[in-house]
Amino acid sequence: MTTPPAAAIHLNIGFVPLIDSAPLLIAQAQGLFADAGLQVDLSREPSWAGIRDRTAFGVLDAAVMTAPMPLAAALGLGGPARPMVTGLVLSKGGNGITFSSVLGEQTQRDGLAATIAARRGAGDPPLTLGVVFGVSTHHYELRAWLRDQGVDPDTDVTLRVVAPPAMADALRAGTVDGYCVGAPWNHVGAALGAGHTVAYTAAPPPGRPEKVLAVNAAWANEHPRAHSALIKVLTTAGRWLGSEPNRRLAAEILASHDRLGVPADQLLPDLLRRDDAGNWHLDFGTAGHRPDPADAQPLIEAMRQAGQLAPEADTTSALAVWRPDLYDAAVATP
Amino acid sequence: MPTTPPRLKILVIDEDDQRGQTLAAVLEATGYQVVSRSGDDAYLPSVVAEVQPDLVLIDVASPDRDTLEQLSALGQELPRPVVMFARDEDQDTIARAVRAGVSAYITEGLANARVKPIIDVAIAHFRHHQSLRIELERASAALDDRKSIDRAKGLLMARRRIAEPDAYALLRKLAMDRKAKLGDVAREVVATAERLDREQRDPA
Repeated sequence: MTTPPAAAIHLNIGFVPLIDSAPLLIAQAQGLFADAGLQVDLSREPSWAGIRDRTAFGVLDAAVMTAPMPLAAALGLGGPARPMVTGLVLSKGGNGITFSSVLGEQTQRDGLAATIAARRGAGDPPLTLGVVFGVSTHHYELRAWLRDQGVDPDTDVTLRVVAPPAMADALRAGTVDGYCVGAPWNHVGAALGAGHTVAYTAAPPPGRPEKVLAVNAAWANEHPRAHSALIKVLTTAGRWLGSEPNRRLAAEILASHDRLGVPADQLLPDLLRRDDAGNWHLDFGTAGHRPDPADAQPLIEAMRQAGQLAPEADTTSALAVWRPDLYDAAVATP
Repeated sequence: MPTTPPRLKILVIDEDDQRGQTLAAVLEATGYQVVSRSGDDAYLPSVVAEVQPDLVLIDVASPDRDTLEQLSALGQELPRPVVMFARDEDQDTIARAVRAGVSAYITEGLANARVKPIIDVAIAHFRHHQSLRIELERASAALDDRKSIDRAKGLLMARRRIAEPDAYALLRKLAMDRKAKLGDVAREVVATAERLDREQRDPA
């Protein structure tokens, strides 16, 4: 006599249409969740603030978020202080900076700092650059990149928030002169003829965490085994995304209208891009899945530098969000 | 003589025009000053700077929220006129609001007691709108069911040369045997018949 299988645990998981969400979308498409006793409903979310609040208050049980978001949520930045739990780093790298064709040409000739100085001298308004969200790796990466170019992100340019899928159109419409965004929206911007990608963010191992799995704290407490299974399934999907043939397949899967809704040939360049050392530009686990609090510290530092966090603010609650113990337990489970 | 506090100004932003307009009308009727915007292309921080609302109500999932939050997150554009409804004692209200699909931003220093009734109205309105939508979906699903059942009946009558009551009885029996809904079984019958037709037309 066989024992009936335990009833599947049902959960709602949110994602934003980005290639970074691939492990989640691939796991669902391949039935990996069902195999692990999880019945998952995916919800495509149009805004980061929405995904944050819906996860914080349990409308969603979990979501793909930019790495600093759950840290900021614990600190009450931009929203109510609600703890979430991060037991898995989903992706590293993958972001890029795209400039309009005009700005791209100018900066290639004169450099960005000189271009900005010339505009100021001519009485032109400051350049406007798009980022996807205030609390995001994109915002912090763009600030660091601007500083490297001798540009002050607070006084030399205007930063503006634009949702990732709207970036390329904003560039074409001239609402922004450039932007920092994740895949595939740099390539899409270039493919639309709106501009050129001028820089890709490097992800040297161990690399800065890009997207994480953020889980509603109450759900995590109530369902430790399901949470563990969820982490394990997503590491499996991430490993599957480590090979080139699988990434080619993934492009077909991600393209569908209920997932990213972007043609596969526009997803492939970002999926297949490697850095000079041959590492994936957008990595799904080769460079590590473990949420090490040491990797959270630079993100908190970036919040301080961006003026989002007071220098003296206590960040203990934020560091407690990252749970390497949950990751370790999940991958140790047979 | 007691002074009445100045009327609060509320900015309602909703891509769902009908929902936003009705909410604005209800709040206006209750004595608030309301400015309502649909999800047009206006740059939200500029709208906020121009309208100077005491409170902003917006769909919890709207992409405009990310733009709105830059007022506090980028700290560049304006002197942070709006902050999220975020104090600890408001957690219950905000949880109910998020579940209903409403989010609210208020200017710093506005008393909780003045804000809560507004949020409550918005929650009730969003919920009401949601239930209307579900009802509408159910009604159109029922209509779709009836169409599918009629088609399935017609197909069965033609192929099996049976009368309408018998075709209907057959559909009901299929549904009962499979513990499925009549509409679903009817759709399946129609789909199967279409597939058979296709295969007969161009055999693989």
